[in-house]
Amino acid sequence: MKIKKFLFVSVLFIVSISLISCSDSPSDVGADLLGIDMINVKKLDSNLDSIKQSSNSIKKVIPLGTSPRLLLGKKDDYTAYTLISFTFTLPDSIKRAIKNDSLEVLEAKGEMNIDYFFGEKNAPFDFSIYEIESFWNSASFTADSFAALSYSQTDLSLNKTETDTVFYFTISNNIVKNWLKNEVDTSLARNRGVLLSPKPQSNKIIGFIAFDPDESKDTRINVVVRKPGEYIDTLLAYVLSDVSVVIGNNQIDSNYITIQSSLTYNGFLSFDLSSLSKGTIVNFAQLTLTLDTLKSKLGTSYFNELNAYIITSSDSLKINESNVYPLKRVGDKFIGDISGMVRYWTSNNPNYGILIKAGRETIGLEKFMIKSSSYPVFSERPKLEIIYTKRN
Amino acid sequence: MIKKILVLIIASISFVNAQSSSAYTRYGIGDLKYSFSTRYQGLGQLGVSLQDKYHISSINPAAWSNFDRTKIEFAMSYNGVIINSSNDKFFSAETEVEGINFGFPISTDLGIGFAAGLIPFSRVSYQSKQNFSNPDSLIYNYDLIFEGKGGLSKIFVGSSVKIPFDWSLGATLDYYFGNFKYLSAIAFNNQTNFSSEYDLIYKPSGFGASFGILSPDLTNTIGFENISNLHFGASVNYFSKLKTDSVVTSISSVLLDTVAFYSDYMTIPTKFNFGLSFVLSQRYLFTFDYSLQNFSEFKVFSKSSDNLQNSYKISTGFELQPINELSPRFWERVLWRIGLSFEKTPYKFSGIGINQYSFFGGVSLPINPDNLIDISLQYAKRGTNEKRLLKEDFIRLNLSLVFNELWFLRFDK
Repeated sequence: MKIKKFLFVSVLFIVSISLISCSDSPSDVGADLLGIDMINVKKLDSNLDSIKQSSNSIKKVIPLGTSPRLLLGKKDDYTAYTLISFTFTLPDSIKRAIKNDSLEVLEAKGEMNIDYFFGEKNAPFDFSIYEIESFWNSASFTADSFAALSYSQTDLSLNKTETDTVFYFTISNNIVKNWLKNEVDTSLARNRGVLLSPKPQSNKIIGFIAFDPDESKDTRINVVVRKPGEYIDTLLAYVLSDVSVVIGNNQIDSNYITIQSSLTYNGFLSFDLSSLSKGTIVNFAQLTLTLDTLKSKLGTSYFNELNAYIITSSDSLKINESNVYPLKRVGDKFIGDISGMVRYWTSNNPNYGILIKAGRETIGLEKFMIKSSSYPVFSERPKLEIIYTKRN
Repeated sequence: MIKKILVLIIASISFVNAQSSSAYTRYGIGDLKYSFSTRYQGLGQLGVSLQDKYHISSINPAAWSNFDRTKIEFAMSYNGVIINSSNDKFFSAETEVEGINFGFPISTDLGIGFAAGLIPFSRVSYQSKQNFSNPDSLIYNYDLIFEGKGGLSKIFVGSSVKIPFDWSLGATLDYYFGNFKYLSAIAFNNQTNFSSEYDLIYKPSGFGASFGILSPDLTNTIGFENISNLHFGASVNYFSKLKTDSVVTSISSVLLDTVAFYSDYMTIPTKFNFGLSFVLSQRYLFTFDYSLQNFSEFKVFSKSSDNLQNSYKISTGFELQPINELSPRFWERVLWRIGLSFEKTPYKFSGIGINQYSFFGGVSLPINPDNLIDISLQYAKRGTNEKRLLKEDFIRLNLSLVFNELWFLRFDK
């Protein structure tokens, strides 16, 4: 019995000393002896460490069909056109009247809700409405498609009035009547929509709320119809499809990277990071771009952010759209964390550079003039700061 | 009973806390483990010439020639160390399982004993954390962390035999394996920066061999009165070149990358051990031992280290043996021992060798005539604060359970 008790106490003792093993929090005692395993936190600053960099601007026409804003107007070298087609929801009685050709269109008054100005708000603005004769599709129609667009040369617009928030216009009754016929029977008339084209005296571009099934502020046309001797009614023409195109070019200055939405200009930026060898751990990387606020042209409302993307193929500047590195505006800088991007390059992936787009590249016409890799003031060139760790 | 104790010990292993010790262990193969058995720990850690019927000597296989029972020995230790730098100090403790040895006699007449075991051979254990502040807002404050873990262990299997004139020889085949992990890490105090970790891992493995010789009782040859059990012993541990895989990995919060992978050899110098022991007046055992290993020849991947030097250890022990091993009184069966040692460790920094002075005390508590609980305590001082080096004060408590049973015996009908 005594032996059992003794053994029990012994084992309890063993377990106890296992559990009471404790230590002070680690301190720097002994660190001087461990230089053999030293790792250092280092900083690579493209502006201080003479990292080779290059940049330029690339025009890349994209479809704007998904944009929640329609652009129309003319400003400097930019001309914005809008294409809209309308549709109706008609009761049977109206349909019968249209079929019998007994319905008259008395008035077709449209309203477009303004949400944006590019250029002086009070600058002159006017536009024409032409009937489109060729087929177009808002999902694929771009500025490059515009030259091939066929449309009548007769201006169908009348009585245009601009307020701060709404632009009213009246459109030819005949074309609206054709749309109604087309709604009932496509063989009776054509409906390929209308082209809204700015007149030469326009000196601003207006943004209108585009088709949005959840919004009641997209473009509408109130159509007053009459069946002689029976009734007068008001029909609503809804947007079936709409898209804007912006035609124009920027004078490219090598001292600047032009990044512009809708037109569309992207920035290309590349840093030579061959000095970061294998085994380097990138703790943090920050890209800073300096905006020339005087040369930049911005509308009344815009998304004050740029997006950076990893270029995954050198041939077509292919990017992974889902992998976005936002660059936020701080003063005259756009600053963003691109640690993941630099880590991608240091993990044996090819460094084809960075593509920079406007934060919302299908909305507005903002032109961000970023000081480029050849900007005369060295410190204002694109700056890449990398905090990294390397083992001795 | 043994089964129950085994279960409890295995259960206790899961609670073992491995914590840091000395930064000196970054070099070579770390702190050397001289002896497994707690009895030998109490006698200054060597005991090369001891012929011991209760314990399994891990330093001289020739000592197994007088096995008369099957033996199982478990050991564990508690290590506490206060590490003093010139301006700070740090306390650290760890508990380790020291291993398990097993042995039995094959022929008591021929002195053929067999033993096998799994025991640690060296130990690396350190941790350090430095805080740095940086005026750069992208770096800010960060901690630089160093950590070393692991060591070399060996599995041995061997035998002893008696040769003419009652001398004993012993040999073991040793398989060495280990895992040395040296971690360097950066942890930033801000939320934006990812942490960094570099792990350098050495995984050596390979065979070695140990050979030992033990003299018979030389008392009659020398003819001193009051002296008995005068033995001389020597052993040698030979290491083949241990094939060593080296992997350097870099780890951040989001990425693990193998930076480098090499495979080459680790060269561990041969270790020599010598000892002399005798019993005075049938009760007082004295041991004198010497061990040396030329660590200046240690190489990893053909590279030697400026921080390693030839090491040696001199130790002496004294044991008060029981008046009557079969006494019914517990305290009359208890063995008491003390030891002293001086060790020139393998470590050398800025031309200064790191020396260690140790005092040992120990006791064997008999559970019954065959089974023991051994306890030993070591207090040691090591190092210096010159040239920003470390001075360490160790307390090591070793505990082992020794079971002797009559197994594998064939009785004539």
